[in-house]
Amino acid sequence: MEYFLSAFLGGWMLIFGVIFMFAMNREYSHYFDDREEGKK
Amino acid sequence: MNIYATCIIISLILYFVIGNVVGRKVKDANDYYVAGRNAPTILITGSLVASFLGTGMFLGDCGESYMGFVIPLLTVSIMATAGYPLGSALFGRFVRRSEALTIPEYFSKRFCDKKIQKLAGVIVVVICFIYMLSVMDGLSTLMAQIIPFDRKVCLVIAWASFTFFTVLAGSGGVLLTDTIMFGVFTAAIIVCVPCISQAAGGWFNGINALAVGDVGVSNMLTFGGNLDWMYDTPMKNFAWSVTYGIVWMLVVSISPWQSSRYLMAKNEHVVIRSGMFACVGVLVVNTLVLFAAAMVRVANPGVEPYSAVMVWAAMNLMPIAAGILLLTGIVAAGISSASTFLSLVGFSVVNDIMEVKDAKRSLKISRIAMLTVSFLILLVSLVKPPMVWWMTQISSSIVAASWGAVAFGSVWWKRITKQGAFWGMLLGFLGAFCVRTYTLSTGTTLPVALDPFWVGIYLSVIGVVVGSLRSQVTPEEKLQRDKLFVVPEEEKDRVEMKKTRNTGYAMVATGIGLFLFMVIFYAYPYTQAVQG
Repeated sequence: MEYFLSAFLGGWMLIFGVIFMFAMNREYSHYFDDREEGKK
Repeated sequence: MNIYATCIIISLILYFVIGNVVGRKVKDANDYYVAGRNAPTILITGSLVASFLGTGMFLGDCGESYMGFVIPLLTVSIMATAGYPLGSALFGRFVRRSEALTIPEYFSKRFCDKKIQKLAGVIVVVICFIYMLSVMDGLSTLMAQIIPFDRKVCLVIAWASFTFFTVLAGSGGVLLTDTIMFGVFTAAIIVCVPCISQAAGGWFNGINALAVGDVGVSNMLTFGGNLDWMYDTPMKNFAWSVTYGIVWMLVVSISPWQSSRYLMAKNEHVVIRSGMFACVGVLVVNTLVLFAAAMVRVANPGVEPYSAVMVWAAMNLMPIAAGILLLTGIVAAGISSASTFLSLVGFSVVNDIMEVKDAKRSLKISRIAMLTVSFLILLVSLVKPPMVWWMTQISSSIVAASWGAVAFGSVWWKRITKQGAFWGMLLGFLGAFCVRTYTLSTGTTLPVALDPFWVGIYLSVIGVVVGSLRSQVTPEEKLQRDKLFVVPEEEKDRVEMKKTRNTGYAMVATGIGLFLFMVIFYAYPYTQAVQG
């Protein structure tokens, strides 16, 4: 159970980190794409 | 007076001076309430962490950890830290876009309704008042063990140390002193952990002794913790940990003393980055301090009272300089929380309940209101009526239950109306408050599924959904929600966006680092010790 708990707590942080990165990427990529197209 | 007491008094005078210097720069209500909305990442991060970690953690949680509840508490605190990225990205930056002075004012702007501002303002005042009593009690108890004065004298010293700079400087002073105090107690923890583990014979010997040694408590390091402490089975304790991990995650995400920090940020990138850095900061401090408190048991299994375990460790297991740093750090943690709660109470009384709009009058009345509330808190703390002391047990679950659904719904559910928000907030507050009052006054232990938080959140969600479906979203409410999703031009800086996006890597790295830390420094040595 102690290994499970270690994985649970590490995984908890990891999952929120991945969700955060995914959400930010989705939101910001819109602006990056616009500006890159504008440059072309 | 001993060296510890002298240094604590000097540190209090220093905070007082710094706060007063900042107070002279306050020109208007905007400076006073939201520090001119110009605070950088370091100040927001420092204030987020310092207002969250107080005497409750350094006295209460450390005491429980020492009594064998270290792993369940670690589970709660680690789960709670995820509330920082969640709160900053999904709530905090939208709150900042509203340009409100307080969180209750945000609700009022979002739902075009003054009634909800008053209700939220009353909840802020009640919860922060109760929290302050708890912090004052912790501070005076702590100081009475170090400073050779009566508890009541210590209470007045503690009260004076944060009241005057908070009243004079408002949010600007609180942000700066919070950040300094955050630095002090983080340094204290980094120094104290090696000292305490050395006293236990080194980290791995300490884990071994706690796992199989005679330390007076069984199941010290199991995932369910000491079975004589709360519930009698490991799974019940684990269920409790997960429940309170979610409660505290919500508290961290949307509570007024955390989300109001985002109103002061220079821009939205500061909001998101500070949320991420606060997550890492709280996680590191909490993990280290809880393990350190448990390891004190190897050196001395008979510390009395158990809540003073870190005070005992500072004075008996550490070199004098390190002990001074730890004790001033613990006092700093208490004062930083108290100053944040006091400022929130003052702001809500004037801005949300009295609704004073004249900028010059508002500043003056805010200071008078804050000073009055502060006197009231001092008087109640001096009298210490028993009715108040069980109330300090009820605040965290109440704020999570009453605000959680409404706060996230106000941004992410387009169908929510002012009626739904009002009933959700009211029912969540009453549900959690009544059930907690019942359990505390009768000494009843309810099943985890009927914990006051869950009852409050069930009722709050019902209130939000039924109240919203029985009414229509008005054009004004729709306009206000649409405005929340308009990204301000100044936020569209590509370099800043990249930096903010990359902070997500910090959290992913923290998750991996935490897993490795737990396996190397806890799970592996523990299982090796148990298997012999």
